Amino acid sequence: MHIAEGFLPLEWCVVWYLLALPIVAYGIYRAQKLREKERGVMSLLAMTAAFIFVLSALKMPSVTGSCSHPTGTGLGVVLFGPSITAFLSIIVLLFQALLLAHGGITTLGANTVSMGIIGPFVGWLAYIAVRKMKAGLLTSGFLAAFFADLVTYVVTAGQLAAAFPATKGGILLSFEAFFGIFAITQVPLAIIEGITVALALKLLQEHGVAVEMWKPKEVSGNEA
Amino acid sequence: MHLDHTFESYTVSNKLVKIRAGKKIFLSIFTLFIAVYTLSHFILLLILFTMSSLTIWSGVRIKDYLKLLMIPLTFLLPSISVLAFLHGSEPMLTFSILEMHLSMMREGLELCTLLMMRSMAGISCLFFLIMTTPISEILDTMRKFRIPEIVIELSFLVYKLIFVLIDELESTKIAQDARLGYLRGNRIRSLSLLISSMLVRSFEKAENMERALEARCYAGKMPSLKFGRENESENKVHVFSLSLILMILFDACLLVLAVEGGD
Amino acid sequence: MVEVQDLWFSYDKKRWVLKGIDMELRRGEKTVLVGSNGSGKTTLFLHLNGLLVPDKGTIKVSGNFLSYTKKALTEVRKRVGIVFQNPDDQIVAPIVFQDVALGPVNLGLSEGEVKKRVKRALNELNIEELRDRKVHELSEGEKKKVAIAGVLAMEPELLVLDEPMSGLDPQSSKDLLTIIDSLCEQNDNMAVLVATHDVELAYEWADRVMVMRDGEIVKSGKPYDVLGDEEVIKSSRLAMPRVLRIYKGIEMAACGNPGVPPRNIEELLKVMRGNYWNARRRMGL
Repeated sequence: MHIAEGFLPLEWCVVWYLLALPIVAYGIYRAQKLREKERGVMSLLAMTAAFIFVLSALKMPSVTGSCSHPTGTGLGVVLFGPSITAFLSIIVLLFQALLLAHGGITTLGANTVSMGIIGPFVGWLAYIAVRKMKAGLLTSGFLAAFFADLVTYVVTAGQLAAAFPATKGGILLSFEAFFGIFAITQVPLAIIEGITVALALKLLQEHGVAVEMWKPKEVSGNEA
Repeated sequence: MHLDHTFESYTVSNKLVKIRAGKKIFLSIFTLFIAVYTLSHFILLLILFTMSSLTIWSGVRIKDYLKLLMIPLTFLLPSISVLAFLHGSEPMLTFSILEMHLSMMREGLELCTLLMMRSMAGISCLFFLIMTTPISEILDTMRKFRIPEIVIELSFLVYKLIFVLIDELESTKIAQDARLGYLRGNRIRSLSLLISSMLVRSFEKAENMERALEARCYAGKMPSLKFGRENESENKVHVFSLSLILMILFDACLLVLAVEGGD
Repeated sequence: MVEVQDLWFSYDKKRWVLKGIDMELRRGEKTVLVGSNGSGKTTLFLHLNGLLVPDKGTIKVSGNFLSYTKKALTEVRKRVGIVFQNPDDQIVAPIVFQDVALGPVNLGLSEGEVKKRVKRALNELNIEELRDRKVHELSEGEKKKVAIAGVLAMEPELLVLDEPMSGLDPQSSKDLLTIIDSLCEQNDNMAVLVATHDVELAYEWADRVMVMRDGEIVKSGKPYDVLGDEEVIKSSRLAMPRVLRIYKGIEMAACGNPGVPPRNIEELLKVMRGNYWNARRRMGL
């Protein structure tokens, strides 16, 4: 779930925008660099963003009627790394607002921080950590997507709690309450998303797409 | 899938579609910021009323509009209702569920009302923009804000690919339905298969697209919509048109009211 | 206009996809390349504007050997326009005119020139009314035309169409054919190369037909000579055009003198009617 248009007070809109923009700007810079180096990368970037859009607009059949949906950013982060994923996410979120009225313009900054920056970043850390322990692509892909999805919702709950702390009990109680609404549906959803992304990565690798395009060289060497 | 009917489809038969996108973006965003700034119920109601009636007048059926308004509302309700119990210190109603005491606060309810109204006002601004302005014009207007070319380029590509993917998904889903893929226990597995196989095919598509782009000497320049306009100069005469003056007047009034703190 | 000599190519360095292709395309000529799926047609096309680099052999465009520097490639891609099989892969901008303008804009042409070219390309394909439409709302046939317009706006000297009729219903493919015909008439300096496995189309429409099999061009020449060659047709996993088969049957029955072979059903009917009346006359009816 994204934070809806008009839900956050002005000061929080500004705060999240200010936090998101430098990282997105760095992502744009990295994307430009990647494009100079590797031909064909624009189509892949665009396709990944479109994929994240479609995935996060999907209603999973098992949790009908809930306000949860997958985020799809786990895929982006394994392929392109966290900063470019932030850039892709802000575009996806803009389209969700413009095409589906999902999320909003004033809350674009806040939603980018949760779905585009912190969520995928934690997913990326998990990915790298288990990759270092020689885990396979399936396991690490699963964890990346699982954490990217779950942390997105944790951060969203945190953002809501920060803007509207409980009078007694403060931000923490507020956070627990907000997270409580998401947690029921989000944990199973994160698992499904993890499986899906892991499968997708495996298939991509079998088809000769260089996963981990954020890595310097070495991978792109053995590409046909 | 609810995607085959996006908000953009309302722009096709819209009275305001001919107005320059820049003006509509200005109106909706400026009004939006007033909406998130103000605490006055009056201003919020005024925004909600003006923006929604303007949108409905421009060619959206009331029934459709209200139905669409309900969608974000259902998203909002759970988060908003939580606040009624968290905010404030003066209990109004106390429930006991499973030995837990939950009390609804008076200030909490006030906050809920404000948030509800603010979100509705905000959503009415967003609806106005997306029901009167085609996406490609919004993207083209973004060029004027000195956004790097790669952002515009990527946005145009993504916008186009979204619809390619939806078509793709539809056809795969039909294929899976035909093989009874969505029966009970198979659900998660077939959904994962559906999505991951779609991704692989879309990456193959991306490769074809790259070739086709190269064949047309693509160097990263996405054509501006100005190439479709017949008489650029004629439009320039209308920079200070009636619509713009009205928009500025409306927002100026709102701003004055908001700063004065009138309620 | 384009000369290909002894072209060899392989994707994986194990299996040759193209095995010594020799081909010449002339201005003002409609050439059709027929071959079953996987015979290497598309791979051959991708060489014509330098998207793929041959392992062996040469390609000459307008008298110059193809070189693979960035500048030279732009020059070649201006001259050789390829319309790919799937219009969804080719059309990248969301609005019709915007996509048609893509080539000219990236060539760095002036605004006036771009507008002029877009207008002309849309006019030549008879799709001016689609100008402001969104691409994703178009039918398959309309998308095909937009894709062609986008290539035409670059004013190519050779227009290559890969399976232009695939995915179209009979009426739309007929329309498209009429349009391609009128394109050829309007630009008599342009060479047109069409790949298809539709032998009927090739027989009726082409000035010259080439048959491709497993990366080789096995026969090329006048439609009647090439597609009437039973051995070539069979070994290439193709079928003889129906009109030609019926005509050959009549010819064998020897009821009338052959004359010019018919190219389509109407002409065939004319031949058959002529034969009928001749036969009646001979029998004194």
